[in-house]
Amino acid sequence: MRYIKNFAFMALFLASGAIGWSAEIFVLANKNVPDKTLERESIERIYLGKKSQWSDGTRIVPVVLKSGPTHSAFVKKFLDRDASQFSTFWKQAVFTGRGMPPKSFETEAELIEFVSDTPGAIGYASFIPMSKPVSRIAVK
Amino acid sequence: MVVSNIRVLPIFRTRATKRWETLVFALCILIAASTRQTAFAQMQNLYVSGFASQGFVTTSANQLLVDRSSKGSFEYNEVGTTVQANPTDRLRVGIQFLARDLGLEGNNQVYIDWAGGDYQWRDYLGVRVGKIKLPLGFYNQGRDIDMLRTCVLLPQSVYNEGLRDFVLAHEGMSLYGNLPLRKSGYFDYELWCGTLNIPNPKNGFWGGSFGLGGVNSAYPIALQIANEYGADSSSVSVEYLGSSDEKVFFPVVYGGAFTWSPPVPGLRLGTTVIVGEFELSNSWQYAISLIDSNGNPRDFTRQVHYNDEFDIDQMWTFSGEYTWRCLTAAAEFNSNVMNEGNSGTNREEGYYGMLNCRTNKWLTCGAYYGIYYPRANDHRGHFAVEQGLPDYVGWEKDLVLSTRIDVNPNMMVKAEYHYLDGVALREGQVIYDGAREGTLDRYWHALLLKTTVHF
Repeated sequence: MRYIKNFAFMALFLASGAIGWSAEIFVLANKNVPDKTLERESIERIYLGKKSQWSDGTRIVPVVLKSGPTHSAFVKKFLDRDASQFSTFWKQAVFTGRGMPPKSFETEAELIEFVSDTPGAIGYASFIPMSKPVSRIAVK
Repeated sequence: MVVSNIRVLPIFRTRATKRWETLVFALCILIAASTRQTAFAQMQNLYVSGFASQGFVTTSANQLLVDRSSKGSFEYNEVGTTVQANPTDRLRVGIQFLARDLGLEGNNQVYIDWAGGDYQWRDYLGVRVGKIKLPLGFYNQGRDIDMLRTCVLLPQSVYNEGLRDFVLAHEGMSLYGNLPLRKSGYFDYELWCGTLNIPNPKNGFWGGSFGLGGVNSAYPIALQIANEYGADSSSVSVEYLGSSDEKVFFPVVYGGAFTWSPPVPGLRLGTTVIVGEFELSNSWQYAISLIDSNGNPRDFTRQVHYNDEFDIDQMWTFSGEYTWRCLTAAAEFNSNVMNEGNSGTNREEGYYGMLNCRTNKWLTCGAYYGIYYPRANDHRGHFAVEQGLPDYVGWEKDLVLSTRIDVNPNMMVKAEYHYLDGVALREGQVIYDGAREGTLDRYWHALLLKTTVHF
């Protein structure tokens, strides 16, 4: 019985850890942006090109990862799309003259560096960087 | 109406202009090809992107998209490239060149698909100027961009390929914006006005309409000539030879697009409307034989000039789309009320339902069923029978099965099967000639294959 309890506890621990680790996506922004809290719908509007200004009127510069599990998890969690649908959305915008897609990066380190150095930038990562001064955006 | 004031496609007037466009087009392709990026090429604030598609179409009867499609045709391709830049935070400028071939239309001549500037003052208000893609339903703006959808051909009941030149883009301006509705989602709007250029009114829907008008005018012209020469109307033979100097002019057209994204993930609902008027003019040539009042036979040709004005009272489209996981369902309804001058007012309608399923990373399957009625109040084709045409000229129903295979992120292959009932969306003169020659089929099939590469 004790083995079962231990096994159940271990399984629960591993599952919760795995879920927490794989699903945790942090929205990060340049440390000087005026808004430290955003609604999920605002994130969606930012990444679909429908919201382009912070509350003080400065330009929002959204950036994305080119691909990978962090990118897939982000578009799924905040945009209710898969990576392919997100890509198609921006192809449509580009080829119909409705907008330009967010700048994209190969790695999270490159993305974080850009967010850190670019006023108004917003991005995401699977971890909170300690080496770069960025703000974590709380999502309501 | 002053015919000499009509201006058609001023940007394609000279050979020098065409050479310049071809050069710029080639330059854009070279810039794009030279970049190492595999997706959208990013060069600071400059974005270059492009695509090329090649299709094949064959039908069991009648014709779809191209002449003699029943024999199979490769005259179905598009090549496009886009260049965009952000000179300032709020200003975006861009241009897209497109070359396409679709039967008699396009012939791979490079033209400007859209071009202009976009100044976004606030999220709720921006302005676009230039040649702007026209919003009609959810998918009209991307109708030439094959990679955006599962199907090869958008549902013709709403996105009639014959009317493509009419609804593709306007030259003018538009106001647009996005309004958050707190717990009710958000709302997008676009209000636009401008003029429309019809690049080649000799072909497609307009060419067919001019041709059919010429055929239908033969009898009244025969009566008129009989009167002129004092001849017995039964002795007058009028043969329609063709049309020339076709011009289609839209002085001012305006409209709007409104989309509501409710707080239901994946759902959006919208409507678009187009209002305006247009003017048509052309010349018809006829070969005439008659016996005059003195009993002498006469053979001669006559040119008849035609011009008229029409109102597009309202062209409404209502759209809904819902995406859930790998499934996307869409339905649209289009209603077009047109004042046809002496013929009175007519309303045509078309609608469809579509379902797409992305089964895995590389395979997407889809199906749709669309119905179009040229006379919304006559679903049984009585009007066609009254004109001596088969009743199935009064509708066109299209059941479609599509498959899309994404070979890699930059290449796709599609196959699509159509089962059609009726011929209402075929060109006017084609229907007339087909009915006369007995070559129109009520039930017919079509197979389309297409491949696209893009970056």
